[in-house]
Amino acid sequence: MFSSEDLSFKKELNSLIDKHLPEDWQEYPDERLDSHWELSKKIKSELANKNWIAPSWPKEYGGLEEDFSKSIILSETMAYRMAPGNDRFGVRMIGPTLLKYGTEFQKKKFLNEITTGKSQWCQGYSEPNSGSDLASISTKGEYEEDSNTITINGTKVWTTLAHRANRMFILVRTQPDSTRHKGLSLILLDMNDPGIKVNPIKNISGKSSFNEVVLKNVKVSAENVVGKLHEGWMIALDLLNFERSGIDYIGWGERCLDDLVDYCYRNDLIKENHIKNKLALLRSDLESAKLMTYKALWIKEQSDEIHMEPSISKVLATETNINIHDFAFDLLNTKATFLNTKNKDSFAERVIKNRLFFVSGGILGGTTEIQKNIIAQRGLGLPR
Amino acid sequence: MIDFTITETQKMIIESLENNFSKKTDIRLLNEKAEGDNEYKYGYEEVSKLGFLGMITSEELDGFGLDFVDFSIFMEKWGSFLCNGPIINNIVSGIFALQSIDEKRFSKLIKDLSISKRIITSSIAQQYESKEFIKIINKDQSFFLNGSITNIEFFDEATDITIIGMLDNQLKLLILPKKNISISQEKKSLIGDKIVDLELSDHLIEKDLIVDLNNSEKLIEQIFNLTNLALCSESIGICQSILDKTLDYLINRDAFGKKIGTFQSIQHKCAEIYIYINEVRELIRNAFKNINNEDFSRLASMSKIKSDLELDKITWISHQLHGAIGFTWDYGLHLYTKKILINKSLGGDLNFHSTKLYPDGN
Repeated sequence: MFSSEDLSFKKELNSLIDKHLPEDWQEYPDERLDSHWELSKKIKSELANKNWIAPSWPKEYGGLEEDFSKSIILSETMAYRMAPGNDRFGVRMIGPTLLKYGTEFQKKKFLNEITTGKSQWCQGYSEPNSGSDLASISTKGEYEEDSNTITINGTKVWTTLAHRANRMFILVRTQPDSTRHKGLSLILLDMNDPGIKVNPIKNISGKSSFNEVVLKNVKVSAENVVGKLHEGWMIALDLLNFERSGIDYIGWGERCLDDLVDYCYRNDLIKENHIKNKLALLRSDLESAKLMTYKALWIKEQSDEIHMEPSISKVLATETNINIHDFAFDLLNTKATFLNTKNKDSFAERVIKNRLFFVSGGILGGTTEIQKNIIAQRGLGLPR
Repeated sequence: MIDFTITETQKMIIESLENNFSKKTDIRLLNEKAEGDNEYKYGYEEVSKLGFLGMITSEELDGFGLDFVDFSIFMEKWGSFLCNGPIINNIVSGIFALQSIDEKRFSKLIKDLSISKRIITSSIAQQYESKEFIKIINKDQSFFLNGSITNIEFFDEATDITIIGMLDNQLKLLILPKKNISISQEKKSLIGDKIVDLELSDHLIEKDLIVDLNNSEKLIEQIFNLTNLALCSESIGICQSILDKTLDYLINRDAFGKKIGTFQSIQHKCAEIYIYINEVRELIRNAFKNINNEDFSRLASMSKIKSDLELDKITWISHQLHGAIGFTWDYGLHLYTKKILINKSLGGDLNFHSTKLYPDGN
């Protein structure tokens, strides 16, 4: 599936990660911690020096115009190694969206910021009363023709990395009295602008990787609107398809499964048929989920039409990752219920921390149920 | 390189089969066959006329020279119409095996198989799984076969049978003419196909029917894996038809004052079927793509594991979505379900394939 050149790239990437990650690194990236954030910046900076942050992008925006397989390797390997510095909001969500819909000004400014590792993006979609029902958002943007600015008021929530981000793409209702998917605009914000307040929210795993973002009279130039004013809905949906491939979950799941297989061999558990069978099932699940993820990314490269593959791959990748962690927890049993013990089992600790964190996989970016609605109605033509 | 393109050739294969078989799936006749009232078969002769028996035969031997991914697309479509015939045996255990051993030496037989002048049935895949090989006894340069072979399909249509024999602790491929081989038992499959067991008792054969195998384990394993993958592709096609049939029912059936396909619980089940079909299909096609890579056997086992698990689920979900109508004989959904179960029963169970992925003690 990958060329020898791709595999050389993977090898070099692993060497780069080796240089920065401690040998016994067992932690899922948690950019709330200063140490992780510093590591993230270092890795990003080195990736940027090699033009590797977005290798498939045009050279004028800091890419290498490489085949998209390198981008897949980058995301999957960073996830497998659990390395901080994987800029999924910039590289995989707003970046491709700007390449497709952005003005020349936006591309030059924001894409180059991403590829030089100077920006961290976050996503302003969900609101306290708008989660899966994204079209019900109420954050308002008031357009003033004279100054060509938009004044934003409202609250966004579950905003991953908002506490570290300097940029946000935000979905705002700019047309007064509009309803549902009409009258919305996708806007690029500077998180340092006056009127933005970020409040961390502690999640189930004890981390604060996501936040509430309160926007009070935040002024932004209309040249930061992506696409046409009031016509951001389809662009916002298209962006979600970039988000939904599930490639990170493949890397995280594969790492856990490899470590689990190793654990089973070391502890002579592989001879138990029910364990061996379950491992084989999970490996097969992972392999097919991985292929669907590749296909989702491949298909996005091939055409602008909306396909079902991102929805399929998101469901498969998130569920497979959770199933792998569940089985690891079952085998590790009580070992995985102690945190910070003196002789801690780092694998066991990682399994439970990650299992708790990965509850989010089936929720963020459109829940599993939303993906099934999309597949059934848009893909299979079942009536609403 | 990552590429999921359906090629022009593959589109041609799909179109050709659709044109030839879309009206052939006659549930009434298939039901009668399942009851033992007829031996309705379609697919093999039509495919032969279209030249598809020679799809992997090299162009030098007047074949199409296609690859196994093309073959998998063919098998998906073949399965979707519930076609029936010795296609997998002929192409995998016949043409592929002979090409791999010595294409030049077997060119005449390959050509005959490619135009259905001769037809092969085979026990190679089953023997690989069971590790039970026919004993070849050499008595003063006269060769006798002893042993039994079970569950052979398409014996009536076949002119020859390929089996694995053991001579002096070495595996040999045997291409036996069907004549004079005695049937020890006749059975009917769940969908009415004739299956036979064969008994070879001091069965005298010509020496030139015994083919030496270089790297025999690898070739036999490849035949086993390709046979399994072909069955998996066939099952994917069957499941695609199950989904189409189910959607058609859900879009047209009214209950509680609306189409039942509008209910979210039902829509989610359909989405799950669609997800299963898509993921398993890509897994199978990818395994076929890797036939020459060292990972092939692992990929084939994963495909079999996933097919057995997910495609089986599809049948039961579909029955649930159909309600009572799907439970009837006349509606015909049972024919699809039974074919999936038959394919699942072949080619090794989860224990077998798990051990291939995770050998004990290594």
